[in-house]
Amino acid sequence: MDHRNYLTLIRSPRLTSTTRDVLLQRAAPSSFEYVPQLFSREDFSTLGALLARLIPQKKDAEFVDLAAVLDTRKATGAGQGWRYAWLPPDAIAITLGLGLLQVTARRLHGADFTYLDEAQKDDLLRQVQDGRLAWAELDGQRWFENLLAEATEIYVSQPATLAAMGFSGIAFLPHWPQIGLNTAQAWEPVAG
Amino acid sequence: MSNEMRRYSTLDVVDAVIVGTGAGGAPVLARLASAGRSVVALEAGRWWSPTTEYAQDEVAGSSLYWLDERLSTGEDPTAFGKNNSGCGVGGSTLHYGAYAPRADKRDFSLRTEFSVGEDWPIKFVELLPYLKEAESFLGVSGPELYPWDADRKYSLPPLGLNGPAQLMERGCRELKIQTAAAPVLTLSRPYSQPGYGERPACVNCGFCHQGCFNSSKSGMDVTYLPMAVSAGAEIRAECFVHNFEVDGRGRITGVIYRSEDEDYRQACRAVFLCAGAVETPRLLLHRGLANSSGQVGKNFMAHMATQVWGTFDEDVRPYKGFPASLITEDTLRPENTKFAGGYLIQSLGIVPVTWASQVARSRRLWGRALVEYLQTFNYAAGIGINGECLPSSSNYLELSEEFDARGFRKPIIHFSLGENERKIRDHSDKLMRAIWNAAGGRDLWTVDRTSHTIGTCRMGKDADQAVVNPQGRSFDIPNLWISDNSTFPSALAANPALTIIALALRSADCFLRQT
Repeated sequence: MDHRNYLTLIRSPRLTSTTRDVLLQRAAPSSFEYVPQLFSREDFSTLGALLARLIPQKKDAEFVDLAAVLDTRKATGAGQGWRYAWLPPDAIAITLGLGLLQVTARRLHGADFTYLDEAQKDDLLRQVQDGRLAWAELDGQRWFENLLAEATEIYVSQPATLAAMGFSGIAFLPHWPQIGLNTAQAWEPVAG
Repeated sequence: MSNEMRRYSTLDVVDAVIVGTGAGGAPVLARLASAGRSVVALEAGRWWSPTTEYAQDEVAGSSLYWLDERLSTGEDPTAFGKNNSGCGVGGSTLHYGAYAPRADKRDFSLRTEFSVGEDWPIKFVELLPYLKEAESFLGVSGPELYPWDADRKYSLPPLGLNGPAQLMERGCRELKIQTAAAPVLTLSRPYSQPGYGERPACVNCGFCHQGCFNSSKSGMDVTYLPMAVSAGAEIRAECFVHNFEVDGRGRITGVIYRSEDEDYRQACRAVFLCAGAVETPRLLLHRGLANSSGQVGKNFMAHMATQVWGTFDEDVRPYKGFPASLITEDTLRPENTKFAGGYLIQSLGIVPVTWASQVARSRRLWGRALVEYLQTFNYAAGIGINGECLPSSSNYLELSEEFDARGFRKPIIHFSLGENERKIRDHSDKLMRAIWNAAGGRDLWTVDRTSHTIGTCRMGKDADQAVVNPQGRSFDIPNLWISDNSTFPSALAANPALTIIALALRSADCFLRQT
C-alpha cells in the first residue's frame, strides 16, 4: 500500500489510540540533519554506507535513516537484555567492527569503505558474513548478524515499510472477525 | 488494583515475602493471602496499564522484557530478553505465548524410561489436581476432546484457527498426524475472574507477545495477582531484591531490596524466591546462600524450539489470531528414533519485526534479496516445536566479572546442545519440512533456536544433589522456598507456565501445612 494511504489507515479508528500515537510519532519526518551522538563522523559515514548495502532504500520521503536510529539507541545504552559473552557491549562492538571494516577496505582496495563500488562493498560484506575474513579483535560473523538483525528490525518497524509489506495487523478493531486463509477484507493493504 | 491494596510497614514481620510476581510467585501470593497470611511481593518491574500502555507494536512492546544484560555463551548460546524473562507486575506472563499443554506424565520419569536425564522427585499424579485447579481458575480455551488424553476437559471452547493453523492441519492430515486446537491461556469467551471481574474474549489481534491490551490473555496480572490483592496481599513494584539478612540459626529474617536507589529491609518469617531460572540462582550465588549442594546455577536447560517457515499461495496474514492455535502431541514419543523424550509441534503466527529479524538472522538475507523477501510476509507461515532438553553438567549459570548498572555481577550462561538435543532438532526439522511441503509450502527455511529458562536450582530428595526438596523448600535454609522454573529437574517437553503454576500452588500448600 502507498505510504500516504497507510497513514490514513493509521489515523482510522481501526487502531487503538496507543498504537496510533506510537506509529505516527515514528513516522514523523525529521526536518534537520542528524548529528551522531555516539559514533565518530567517520564511523557514522561507514555505518551509513554499510546499511545502504544491507537494506537498500530510495532516498525519498520515506527513507529511514537507519544509522541515525541505531546511533540514538546505542548512545542511550539501550540493549536487548543479553549479548554473546565473547563480544564487547553493543556500542563498543559496533564501533570496533566499523573500524575493522574500514581498515580491511583500505588494505584490500586502498580506499575507504564508503568509496568502494557496490560490488566491492558487497563482496567485502559477504566475506565478513561468511567468516572468511578473520578479525583477531572481533567475531565478525556475529557482529554482522547482530547489525543486520537490528537494522532490519528498525526498518520493519517503520510505517512506510509496514505499508510496503501490506501489513494490516495494526488495524484490527473492534476485532478480526475472520482469521483463516484468504479471508482478508477488501480494504486491507497488500504488498507493494 | 494498586489503589485499594493493603500496605505493610517494612518493620512488620510478615509471614512471607515473595520475590517475583510471575507464574511462580503470583499463585503463591494468592494462596498464602487467601489463607489469611500476611504477604508482600517484591517485583523488580513496574505496574502496567494494558489498555493505555500496550501498543500493538514490537518496539514499544520491548519494555515488557527483562532488559538487564545477561551474557550468553557456549556452542549454542540461548537468547534472553524478548525470548523469555519479563519485567513488570506479572513477570514474563505479561508477554508469554500462553500456550498451555499439560506436561506429559512420561516426561516426569525420563531416567526410568531412557536411562538418561532425571526422574522428578514428585509424581505426576501429585501435580494433577493442581494442574486441574489452575486450568479451571485461569480459564483455558481448548478442544472438546483432547486426542492424547481422553479425560481432559477444558472449560472454554477453543480459539479460532488462523492461517498457519489451517495449513498445519492440512499438512498433518496428509501425513496422518493427529492435531487439535491448542489449549491456551487466553479466553475464547468472556469470563468472570474471581478477584478481578469480567475479562473479555480475545479479539484476535495477534500481539500476545507485546502485552495483551484487553486482558483476555491470562497473565498473572489479571488472575492470581488481583486475587491475592483482594485477599490482603501487598505487591510492591520497582523493588529489586539483592540481599537477605540471615540470623545465627541460619534463617532469613529480612529481605533487602533497592527502590529508587535506596535500600530497604522488609522483615519476614519466610521467603519464596520466584525470580526465574536466571535471577533466582544469580541472587543465591551473589549472596552465597543455599548452595551446600553446589547445585545452584547447575543444569541450565532451554527447550528445543526449532521452527520451519515457508511461503504459501494463500493469503495467510500470519499476524491474525492467537499465534499458536494448533497442536500435535503425536511427537512426544515418536517411533523409530534414538533420542530420549520428545517434543510437541505448534503452528506459528508471527508479527512483522520478529519475523523479519529471523529472516535476517536465519536466512541470512540482505540487500535487495532481503527487501524483496520481506514483501512476501502476508504469505508466510511457520510451525515450531517445544522439545525436551536434558540436564547437563556443561550447561550452567555463574556470575561474570562484569557489573551491571546497580553494581552487581552480570550472570553468564553456558549452553551447548547435547547429542539428544541435536537428534530432536534434526528429527523435528525433517518432520516439519514434510508437513509444510504437504501443506503446499515452498522456499522453506529453518530457525535454530531454544527457548525458556529452566533448571539451575533443581529439586530432589537428596540434600547433596539438589537445592530444594520435593516441596520446594531449601535444604540449607529452612524458611527459604523456591517457586519457579529453576527447580525443574528436567525440562519436560511442554511449555512450562502451567507446570510452574501447579508447582507453586503445591509448594504454597506445603508451606501452609508446615507453618
